[in-house]
Amino acid sequence: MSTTKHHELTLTKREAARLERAAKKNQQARKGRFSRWLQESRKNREALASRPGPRGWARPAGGAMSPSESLFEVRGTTVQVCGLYPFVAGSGLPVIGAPLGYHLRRRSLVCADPISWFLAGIISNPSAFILGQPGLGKTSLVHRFISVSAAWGYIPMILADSRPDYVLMVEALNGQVISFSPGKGHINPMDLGPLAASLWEIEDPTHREQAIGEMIGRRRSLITGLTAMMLGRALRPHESSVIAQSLVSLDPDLRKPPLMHELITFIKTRPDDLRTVMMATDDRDYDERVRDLLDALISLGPDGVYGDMFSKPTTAHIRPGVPVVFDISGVNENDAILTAAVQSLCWNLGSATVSAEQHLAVAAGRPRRTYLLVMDELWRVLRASEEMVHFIDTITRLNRGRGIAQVMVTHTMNDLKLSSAHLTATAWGFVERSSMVFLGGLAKGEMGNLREVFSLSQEEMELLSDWTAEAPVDYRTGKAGLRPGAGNFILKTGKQAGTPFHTELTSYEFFVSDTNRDWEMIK
Amino acid sequence: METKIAPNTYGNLTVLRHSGLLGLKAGPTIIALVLILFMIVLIAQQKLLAAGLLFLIGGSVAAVGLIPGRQGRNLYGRLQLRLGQFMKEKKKQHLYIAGPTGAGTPDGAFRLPGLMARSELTEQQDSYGRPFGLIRVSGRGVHHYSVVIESHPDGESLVDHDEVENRVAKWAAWLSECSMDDSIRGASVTIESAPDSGLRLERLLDSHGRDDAPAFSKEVVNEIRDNYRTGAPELTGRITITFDGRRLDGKAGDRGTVEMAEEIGNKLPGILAGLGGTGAGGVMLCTAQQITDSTRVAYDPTTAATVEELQESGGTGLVWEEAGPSFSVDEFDLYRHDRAVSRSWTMYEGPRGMFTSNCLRRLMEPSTEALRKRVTLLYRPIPVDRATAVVDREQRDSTFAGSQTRVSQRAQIRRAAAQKSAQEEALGAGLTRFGLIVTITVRNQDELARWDKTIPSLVSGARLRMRPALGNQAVTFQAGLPLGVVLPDHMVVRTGLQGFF
Repeated sequence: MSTTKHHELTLTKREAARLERAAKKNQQARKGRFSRWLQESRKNREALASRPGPRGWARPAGGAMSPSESLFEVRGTTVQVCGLYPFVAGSGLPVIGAPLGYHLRRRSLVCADPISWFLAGIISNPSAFILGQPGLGKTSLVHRFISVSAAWGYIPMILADSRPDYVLMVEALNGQVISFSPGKGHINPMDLGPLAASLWEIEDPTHREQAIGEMIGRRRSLITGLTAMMLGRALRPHESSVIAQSLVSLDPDLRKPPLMHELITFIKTRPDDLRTVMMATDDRDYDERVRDLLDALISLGPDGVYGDMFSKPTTAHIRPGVPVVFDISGVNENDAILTAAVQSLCWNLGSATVSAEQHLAVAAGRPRRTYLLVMDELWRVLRASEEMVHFIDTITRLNRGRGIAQVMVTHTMNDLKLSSAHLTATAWGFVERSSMVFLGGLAKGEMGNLREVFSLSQEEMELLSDWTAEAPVDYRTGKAGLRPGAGNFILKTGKQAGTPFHTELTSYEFFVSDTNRDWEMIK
Repeated sequence: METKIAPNTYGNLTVLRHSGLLGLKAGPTIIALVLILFMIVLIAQQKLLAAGLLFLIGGSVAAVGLIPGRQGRNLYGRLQLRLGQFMKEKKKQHLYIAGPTGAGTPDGAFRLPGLMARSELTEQQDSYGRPFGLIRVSGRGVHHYSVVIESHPDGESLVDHDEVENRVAKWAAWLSECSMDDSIRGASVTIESAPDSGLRLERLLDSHGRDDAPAFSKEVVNEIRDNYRTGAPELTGRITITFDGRRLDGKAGDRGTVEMAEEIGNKLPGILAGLGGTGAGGVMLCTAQQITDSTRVAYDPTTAATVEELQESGGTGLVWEEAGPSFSVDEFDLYRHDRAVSRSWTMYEGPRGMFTSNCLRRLMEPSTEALRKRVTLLYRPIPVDRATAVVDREQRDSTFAGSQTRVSQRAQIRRAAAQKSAQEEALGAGLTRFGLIVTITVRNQDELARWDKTIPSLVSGARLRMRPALGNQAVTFQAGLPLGVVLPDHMVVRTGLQGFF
């Protein structure tokens, strides 16, 4: 029993040793867990030393933050909380384009011009329309476009300046002033200038044909337009055909522009190609059918009321690449037909020159020059002859394809209200198609018209009619100051709310700006 | 002429609270009840002196608490803030010295201080392949992923009233979209205005100018350059959305940038599209670089011109670890950071009564007097599955509060508001919490004095009241930055308890 006990004891001894080992191991393991925890926390502390904690570096000058006061909050449904509306104030405008002046509400800078905005993709076509009552600074705004454009390498062209508002400006820009009025220079309407003739130098035959074709088209529509103006009615189809055919026969390829008397003689001699066009049975029938046309052409010719104005070779051609102004201030303003004729001539010559220049540039592979065409006093032309509507329509459409920018200026939308609904629609199309419209002070009655063309908010309308208010009178001097709306415009692009701004001229512009002299007179 | 449309009015916002007895909130009511119970026990044990003493002490503590202090803080609130500031200054935690000195930050980086110290910024792509910066703030139960959207608001000048209302309605729709998405933790809109540096004009004139231009136009352009360069303020809107990155299986931890970036990237096109028509104007996602640059400028506005210049010529090359200040002091009522001083104000009383959608106009309009003015509207959408419960509870609570006082106009109004909210919620509107922070940054402390007067008056249109965020300037400054800090989630005491006190 004892032996077994002993045996058992020895066994237990071994077991005890094993147990001891196990206990030691266990103890070690327990110690390991502790040391592991110690190690971990040490590691954590080290990590914290190299990496900030959730509230920042937990050490002096570590900038740890714990908010001690809770943020006050209110609770509401979204249809009520939205009343605390964050987007009440508008941000600044993109600084792209000619700096025009200050935003009237926000005092931020307003930059815009049709060329830059078109190049930046803000507007879809480089065309601006300026509407505003006289004496509110439309011309000053255009002056800003011109002076900045010239600095940026765009070439301003003022086609038909009847005041003249732009002569001093163009002279200051070392540009070309072409005077055109009775006794002061002549223009042959069938001569599109040497640049058009040089289109023959284009090597690519398709491009050349296209360019020449365009010029021939321009010339044809110009003469047709002029004749229609003289007649006071639209040309009949056979009359247009006679002109078209005569031009083709006399100068098929724009190299030798005929003079007015040559055209008259040509029609008078009843050549065969004209007979076929008109399907005239005999000489009497022929004469009968061209009578009106000849009347109109003769009145334009050397024996007509305008003497040699349209019947002699052109005195000065446009030099491409420099600012140019057609000074037509010598034309009698009361002679509506002459005014319209002269304006249409200038505009057409200008845009033809620009277009020809573009064709040549493309053909030669050099960058195209960018032109800014200014068409001031649009109302005069439209009032003179309704034919001009289609004419201007053509020009604006042709220019659009070329990327030539244009600025059209007139007083009211009523200027664009013409005798027939169809013509009015075409004229209003000028405004509609202008991606950029500047509205100066306008009469209240005008707003209905404007609303038809583009959306105008109540606020905008009120602002516009406020600007037409009379100038306050200084009772000590007895003189009126500037009108409240002078120099103020709303810039509209598309349906967006407009940008109201005030434009201020620099001292240099002030000096050459004719409109300001008018303002001086008001003062 | 058309007739004018009367402006829509808004209102009906409630303060988060639980009503108790006698017009007290729920927390003090419970404490008072416990004290009264004690007193009854004491009286039962004939210990009248002790009962009287307890009554006196309890009563005076309550009475002091009931004295309305300045700016909505009673004595205890002010004491707590002072104490907090004292502790902070004693531990030198109000200081932040970053950079190579290694004094405050051992790694020598110029990280953002405080809650954003651990933030990481990565660049991700949304499902349309547009890059966006994703800010990750992860730690201690908070796993937030924020995106920043830049906007150029159209503003409401010259916009007709019905169009404005239309925009506001679309904004409401966008906000309720946010509450439909239960992963959205918070959203904010920051409208920041700063004086124009004039650099954009300078650059415009320089880049277009040609040597062969006529002398006259050069003169004109030079005069424009001299006259127009100053005084034109700039205004930018930034919208941040903060997503919850907690694991979906309920375990603690973070889902990780990769997973979150993909989820957020898929949601962003819809969120951006929803902003169309809200008046936010052109919106675009901010890249990581843009976020870094604008944060750097916020902490040191005097670098604005340099940053702008560098952005134009190839980028600033700043990284997120360099966006913070190199030095800042979190004082009791102002925050000094680098070369500027800021003070932040928070709303402490919600809009009383009705307000119109242009009520914040004066606050939002840019001002040239300050280096930076930031107005941040903070939204914490209540998930749609909880919204019904919340409006129901408010209805019960308001009815209970109404039953406690005999004739209380306010209680009646509150009950009506609760009912209206319940109706609107039933008709599909979301429920959201709203907070407001205004931060003004100036060159030196003296300039802040004028803002102390003007800030409260700027918000008077909204019938709000603002107070300086005392003892919390640094953290409020950070919450006002368009970085998506959802402040209530970082509170030591969770917000659920707040309503009780």
